[in-house]
Amino acid sequence: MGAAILLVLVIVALAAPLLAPHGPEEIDATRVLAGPSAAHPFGSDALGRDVLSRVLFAFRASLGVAVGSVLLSLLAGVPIGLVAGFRGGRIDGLLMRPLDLLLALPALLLAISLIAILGEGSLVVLVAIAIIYLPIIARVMRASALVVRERPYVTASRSRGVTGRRVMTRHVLPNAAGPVLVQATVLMGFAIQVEAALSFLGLGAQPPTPSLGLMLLDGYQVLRQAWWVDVFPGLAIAITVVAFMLLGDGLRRRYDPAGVAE
Amino acid sequence: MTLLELEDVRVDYTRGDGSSVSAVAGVSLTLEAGETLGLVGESGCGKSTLAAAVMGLLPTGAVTGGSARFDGRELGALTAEQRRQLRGDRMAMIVQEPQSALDASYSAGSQVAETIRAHRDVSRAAAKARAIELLEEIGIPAAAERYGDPPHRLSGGMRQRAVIAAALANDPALLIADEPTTALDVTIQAQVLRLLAEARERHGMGMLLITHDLGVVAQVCDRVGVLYAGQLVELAPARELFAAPRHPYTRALLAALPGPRDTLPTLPGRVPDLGDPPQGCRFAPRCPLAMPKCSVAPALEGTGHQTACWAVERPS
Repeated sequence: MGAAILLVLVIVALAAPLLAPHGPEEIDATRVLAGPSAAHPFGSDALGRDVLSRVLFAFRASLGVAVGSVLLSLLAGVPIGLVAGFRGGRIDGLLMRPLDLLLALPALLLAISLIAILGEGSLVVLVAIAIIYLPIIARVMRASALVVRERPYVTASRSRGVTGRRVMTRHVLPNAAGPVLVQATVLMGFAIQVEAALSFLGLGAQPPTPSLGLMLLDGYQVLRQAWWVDVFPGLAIAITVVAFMLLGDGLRRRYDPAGVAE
Repeated sequence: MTLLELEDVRVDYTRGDGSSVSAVAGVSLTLEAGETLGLVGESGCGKSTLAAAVMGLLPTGAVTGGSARFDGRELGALTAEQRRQLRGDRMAMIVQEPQSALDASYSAGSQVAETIRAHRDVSRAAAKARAIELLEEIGIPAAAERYGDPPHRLSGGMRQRAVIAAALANDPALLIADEPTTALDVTIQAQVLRLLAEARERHGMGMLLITHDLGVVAQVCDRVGVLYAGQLVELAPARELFAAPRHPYTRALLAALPGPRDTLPTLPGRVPDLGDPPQGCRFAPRCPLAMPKCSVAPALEGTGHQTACWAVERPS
């Protein structure tokens, strides 16, 4: 179910330029806050821009940030968690202690501080979300590696003289990846929300770039006159998050029955 | 030629709360090339810990003492990399739970080849060819076609054969078999034991067979060591041990074998807590022959048939 919805969503995101009936930044003074119609199924906003086209492009950008941020955190978090869990002892402490510190800070506060340092923009948001997720990914990877490294086939491969590095990458990693996959999926859903929240606060994408968070902010100001400006981007966020959650649940049943992912 | 020489080997595990568990308490034994030595005892008596200590596969936090020499080399003096080079090459192990000793992410055959490539500088193709040869030798029909089969597509007996093929891949001088037949049904058990015996004869390999199955021991072992709570209480030629057990624990163990009797005798008391083991002989609290002297651990004494017990008459 989740996979099917997501497949459609990804296709929509990729094909946004083809699907959008109008340019996302096309201003039309004659259509200010016009309601849904055949030509503009989602209506238009305060500047007469087509809401459907804007939602499509904004969704494309948000999904890109969400996927990119999780991939970035996987790239750093998986090796850290794997080595920490597999080697254990002092290396474990050395690698995980700084990440625990990161985890102790509230996520949004962390993101806002990072943006304050690095400046606004989608790329900064992507990096900020990746940093927020890094300790989560690393911890799940570590916990999973800790379980897998005690499995008989791991001891068996060591007893055959397979090098530690190979045991870790060839035997522990593939068998420990399931819960990380589940966690990453769930985090992508949350990333859509975080990206929207940061843009809503004016810390993410900058106008006129279409962004779901920015659209919510625009629509919020005219909510009483034109509900459609807010509702459609809101729905886009909700549907995407739900789809990721459903996919995460499905993957969890299959790849993480023990519930290692948080 | 003496292959393995253990002298007063001790292994302590450190528990999370800082206390320690004495899993192996001063075990001394030797294993000759071509010999099969059985190690028997209840679960938790230190059999597997002893095997892990020899292989260099103890978990972190384990503290070892005493001396273990393999091929005349002191194992404790070797680096981690030197120990790795021994594992799977000169010394091999069939781990407990052989049914899950193969990684389900790879084919059984490729794990045999992996063992070869861990020690020999050969091409992927050459390792595969050799692995197929080994699988064929060990009795897997049409090994070339089955090479790519994932472990779950093999029957229990076939999987166990693949595990043995991986262990024997580099012609080890020492094979430690930790409960190699436990999860198998009786007919396959017999086949596996025959395979191991054949391999031993072909390569003159020394074998340390760890089991709690006295029937298996009687079938294949030259000598038998009996472990109780981390102490080796008796070490004797198999025939002699079964015919004339001397240590009170061995006697109780053999008496507990089911036979044509109405009732099974049981041994009163329970295995001591190894976090706080009894002083001296650890069997003393349950021993019908216990005496004050037992608070000092008796050494394993005797020639040929060795016993660690004050109550047993031993040739000095």
